[in-house]
Amino acid sequence: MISTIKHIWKIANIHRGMRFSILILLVWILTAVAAPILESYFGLAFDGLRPENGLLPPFTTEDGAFYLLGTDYLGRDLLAGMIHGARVAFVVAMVSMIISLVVGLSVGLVIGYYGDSGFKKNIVQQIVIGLAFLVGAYYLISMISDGFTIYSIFPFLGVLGICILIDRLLEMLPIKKYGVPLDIIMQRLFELREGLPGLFIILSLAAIFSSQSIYTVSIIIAVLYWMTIARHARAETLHVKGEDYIMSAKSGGVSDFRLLFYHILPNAMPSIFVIIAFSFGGVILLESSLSFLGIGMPVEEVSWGKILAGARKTPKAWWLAVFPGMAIFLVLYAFNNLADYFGQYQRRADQIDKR
Amino acid sequence: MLRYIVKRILLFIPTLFLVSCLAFYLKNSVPSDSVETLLTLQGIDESKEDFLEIYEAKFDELGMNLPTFYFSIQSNYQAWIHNFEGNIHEKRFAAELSKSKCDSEDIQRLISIISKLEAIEKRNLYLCQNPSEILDRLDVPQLASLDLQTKTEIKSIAMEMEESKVRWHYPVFTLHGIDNQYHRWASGFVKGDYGVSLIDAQPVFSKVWNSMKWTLMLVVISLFFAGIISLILGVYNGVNQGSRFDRWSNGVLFIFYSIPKFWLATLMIIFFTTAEYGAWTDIFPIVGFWPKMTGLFEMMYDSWDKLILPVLVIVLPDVAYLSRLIRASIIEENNKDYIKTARSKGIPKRRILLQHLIPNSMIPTITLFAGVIPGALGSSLIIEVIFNIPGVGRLMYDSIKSADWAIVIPIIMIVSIFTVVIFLLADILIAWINPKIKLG
Repeated sequence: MISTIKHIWKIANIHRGMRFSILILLVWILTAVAAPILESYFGLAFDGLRPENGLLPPFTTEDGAFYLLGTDYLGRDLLAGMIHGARVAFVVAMVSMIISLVVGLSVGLVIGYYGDSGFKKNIVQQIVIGLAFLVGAYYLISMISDGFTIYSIFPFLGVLGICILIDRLLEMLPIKKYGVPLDIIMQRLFELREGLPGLFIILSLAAIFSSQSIYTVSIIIAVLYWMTIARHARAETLHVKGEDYIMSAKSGGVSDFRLLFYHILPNAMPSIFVIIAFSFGGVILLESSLSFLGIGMPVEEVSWGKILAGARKTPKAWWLAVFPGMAIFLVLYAFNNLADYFGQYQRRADQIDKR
Repeated sequence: MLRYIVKRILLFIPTLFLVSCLAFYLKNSVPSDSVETLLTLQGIDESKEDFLEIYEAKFDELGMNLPTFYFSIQSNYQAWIHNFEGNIHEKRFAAELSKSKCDSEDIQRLISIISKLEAIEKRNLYLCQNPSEILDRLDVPQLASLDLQTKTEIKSIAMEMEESKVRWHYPVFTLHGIDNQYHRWASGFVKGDYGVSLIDAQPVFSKVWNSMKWTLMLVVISLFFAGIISLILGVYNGVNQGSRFDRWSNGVLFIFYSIPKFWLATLMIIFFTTAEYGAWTDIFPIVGFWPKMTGLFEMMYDSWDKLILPVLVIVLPDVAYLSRLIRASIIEENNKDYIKTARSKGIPKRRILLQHLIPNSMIPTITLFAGVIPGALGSSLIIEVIFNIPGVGRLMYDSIKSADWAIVIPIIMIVSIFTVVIFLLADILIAWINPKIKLG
């Protein structure tokens, strides 16, 4: 463990600003994880309204309380707000990235591997899969809009299971099999996504959810971001697919599943890391712009973007604009730096391969 | 070439169809009442005697009583709504309750009880969106006049609904035929009839076009500057790779690359438009009032000082992004053999740069530049909201907040057409510059 950390620290020295970025990310993650403890330690939760202490500049002591970063116009401690904002940004980034990684990577791998002709099914199977897809989508949407109840999760899993079962049975039918045009379908979807600016889609999607929480925001962001990851995973799979060791594994009789997740995915991972680091930055930027615009975030939730939006009303209080923005900027900078580093590493590895 | 363009244009059609379907789906799922907003703006509100009739007439006139799409997939608790007879409030009440999966018979029983009540009691109860809200609302003072028997009856039905609210459900497919809102709107859209805004009854086309001018102006000006500055910086840094200026500007640009645009905008507004931090910081005029759009150049002449800040906010991060990429592609091209050959043949540096290096390294750059334009449209939304510019993003933001979908859907369509066309243009341009690339 310690040697791994030492190793990372040593590698980090190669790249400009890498140690600084790692430090920023560590501070951010620790703050986010320990936010409840930190807030109780400072004892100045952001909901404590003290209008008489409104707009105190940083480093002031008022009524025995020390305001390191000052207060906003309602007298709420900015430091506590920043800590809470770190947690919100962390939760949104983690939830949306986990969802979009799981969905995006599997879709990207599958369409990259099978293409338009590899996924062969006979006509009956294709119809069954299409119907099961519609029913599954219905339960998925109801799962998202009504909340995760057993009344939508079980039918969803049930449809999935029955579909696989029927598919296995129909496999035996002696009918000619055609390739399912997975690639074409997904390419159209990516084009659709590309044709619309993200903020416009999010603005409309956010209007759907009747109850808003940081989790709905994460889901909305994930709905956009899985496609970016899927697109890159697809490209990378196509790249890896042609390698000799995949061919030999295939001819050795390795199953498709094993080939995809044990051979292709690990080899595609280094360049997917670049996209992951980039997407983390993008997700945090999106979350803060959404809460800046007042879309999707619940009213009572405090986030960096929201504090920043409040700063526009009080131009006198520079600290309200500088500190939250600085936090967003630093985290973004760290992730972009990380992506830059992964990209350089990848390029160097490619050059070594070519030699 | 022509075949390729025709093929790409034909591929637009399914994409646009899907975009419009998506927009209609969104419209359908958003709980909002634009008719009421419209009538309130016309000075007609619920205190009027014949409010319900006017409301229903307007509702029918706008075609909102029709089904949304050619077919619908709903839960089995919602499917019966299409055959439900009743006035507009009853319909909406039934739709809301069935959305939270209440039994259709219970709902009909409840409606038959409520419809016999006084107007004020009716209104209060029909506003409820789920059974628990009904239970809460029964104790409201406006409903004090209810007699005990009806109250207990309503209460018992609502309790029953509340208990059996969440349960197994399955999708039901209903076919609606051609007479639906989407068909009406789409046939109008194809014929060039874009409808009127629900909020101020202005034609959608002129409203969107007027705001489009602003956005286009902003995007064109800022992309012009971003393109020129990043080209100069990128080429200069790429050719002089490793120089002191290169290292420093690279570090600074990476910082600008990570700065969120809305933070930059907020900082600029706070520090440069007010005299809070000394008189010298009050450099730019306060953003807020914009004169009417007359023409592009008149506009730029009239309020160039107000445009500086928004343009700067868009340009700085874009320059950071583009110049880094241009630099990288210049460096890559610079190390290739043909450049080395040209150099060893003694061709002047300037000629190598202008005739070989820049044209060849532009190929990846054009694709990236094309990617920046839709991004600029998207980020113009947040810039327009901050600087109060009456552009498309601002219009979209306001229209969604006031549920004016007659405006929102065309904007989504136009923006997506715009984006797709720009990507096509970029592909054609690349094929034109580099004959090695074959389209098709």
